[in-house]
Amino acid sequence: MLPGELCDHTCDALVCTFETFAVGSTVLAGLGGSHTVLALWLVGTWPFCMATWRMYHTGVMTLPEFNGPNEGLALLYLTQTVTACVGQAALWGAGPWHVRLPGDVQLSVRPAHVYAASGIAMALVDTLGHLYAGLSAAKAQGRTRRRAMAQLSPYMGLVACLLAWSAWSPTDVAGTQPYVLLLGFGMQFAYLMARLILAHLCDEHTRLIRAMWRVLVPLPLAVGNAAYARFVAADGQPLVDENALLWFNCVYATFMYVRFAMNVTHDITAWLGIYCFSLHRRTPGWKLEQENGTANGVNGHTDKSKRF
Amino acid sequence: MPRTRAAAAAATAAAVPKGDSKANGHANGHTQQAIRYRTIGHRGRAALLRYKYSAVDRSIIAPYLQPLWTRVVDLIPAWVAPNCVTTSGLALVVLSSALAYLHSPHLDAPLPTWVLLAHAALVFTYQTLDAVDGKQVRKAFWPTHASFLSALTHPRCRALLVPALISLAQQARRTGSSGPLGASRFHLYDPNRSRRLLCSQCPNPALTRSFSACVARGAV
Repeated sequence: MLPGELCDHTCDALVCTFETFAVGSTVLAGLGGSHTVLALWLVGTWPFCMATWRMYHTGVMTLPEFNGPNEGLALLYLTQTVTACVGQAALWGAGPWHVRLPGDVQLSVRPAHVYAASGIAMALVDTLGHLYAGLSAAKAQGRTRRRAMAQLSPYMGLVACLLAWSAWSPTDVAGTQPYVLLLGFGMQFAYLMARLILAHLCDEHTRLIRAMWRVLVPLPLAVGNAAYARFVAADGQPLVDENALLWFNCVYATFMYVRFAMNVTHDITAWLGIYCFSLHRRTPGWKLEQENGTANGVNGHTDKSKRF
Repeated sequence: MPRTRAAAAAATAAAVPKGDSKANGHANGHTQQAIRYRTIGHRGRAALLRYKYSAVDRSIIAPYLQPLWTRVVDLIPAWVAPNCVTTSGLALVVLSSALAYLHSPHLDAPLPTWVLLAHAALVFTYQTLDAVDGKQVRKAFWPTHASFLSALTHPRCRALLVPALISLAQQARRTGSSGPLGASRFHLYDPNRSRRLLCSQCPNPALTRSFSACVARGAV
């Protein structure tokens, strides 16, 4: 069922973020520095984005042998069960081990780092397959590779802003407020994916990339603010309070996502004559258009209390 | 609210005369509004009607979990919308991250064992619900999204078959007909007769209603 696909996949996009918190707290990601939880978020969202982008070009949702909704989630609950049996301190509180790399670089490694790094490695392998298939399909359909890659640019921009903000932030936003930070970015990610899926469902590709960038508007401000504090300001103080920016980004992203989700739900259900959360039927919009002979039909259902 | 497509179409045709562009004087006082599509254009709406979902799943562990998913979808009633299944899965994961926030706001505090086990259970349930919602589509939107064999096991199908057999048996006994085939001639010529008969015989109002809906739709 068609709107089910949109609902299912955008819920999955949100789950990528919410699961990051559950796994991050399980593997004690905060102990190894603030970047570990960002890596965990990337492990969830990156393959998801690539799989959605591939579906956009090939028209087929392809889940490879090792995929997120089956094997990835299985790995998560196995991790959590084993942690519960063995003990969190024994398993994830070990270390840090000091590793000396060539070039006199010292690393202090914790188990969470190893966990996140192996996830990144798996995501990389997954990405190569998706990238190859997506680019081949785009070429076969007469789209340029440049345009196909440009559809990935909002996600790349999102990740770049996330990494830059958390690296330059004077107050270490990823360490002090990981939940608020990633909730905002997770909503932005879900918005991007919902746009991509809707464009695929409706075969409407004009102004897609512009619409996707619109949800990232607060991020340049935040990154610029952090960069100013880091590189320009003598006292290391940012222009705008980082906490306020963090909450602004979170609220803005949530507002954009919820508004978009409600509009899309209204449009699709009215057009197909269904409801989102019940099995009842109403007169579909396409039928009303046929009957009235107008471009805009007249709303057939009289039950105003039931919008979705 | 009209329950069936046919009834809804009939109601609309009665309320809105053809070519009436104003169409705001509704019989029961409701002001009718034109549908405003904010996110999907003309071309997109036309494409929506043609769209067909296709997926390839080469997952390793999915075949081992299939028996569980098949059992779980039997537990979910057929009147539950598939999107409700998906959204409740999301709610479970949100609950999981809320637990994480309460016990470890900076992701560095050790969690109690029950929270770890709850995380695992919630993710597992989410995975199950996520896999089951596709099966629920086939179950809830029977028979348009289901195969013939799975349609036979559907509760709505059983709800139709059982009273139909009862009414056939009643007819055969009353008329002294030679068999159920002879009795079913009445149903072919007069669908209202079978409905009336069913309404008088069937003790379950839900079954009667679903059967009447089918008659109205022209399915029986």
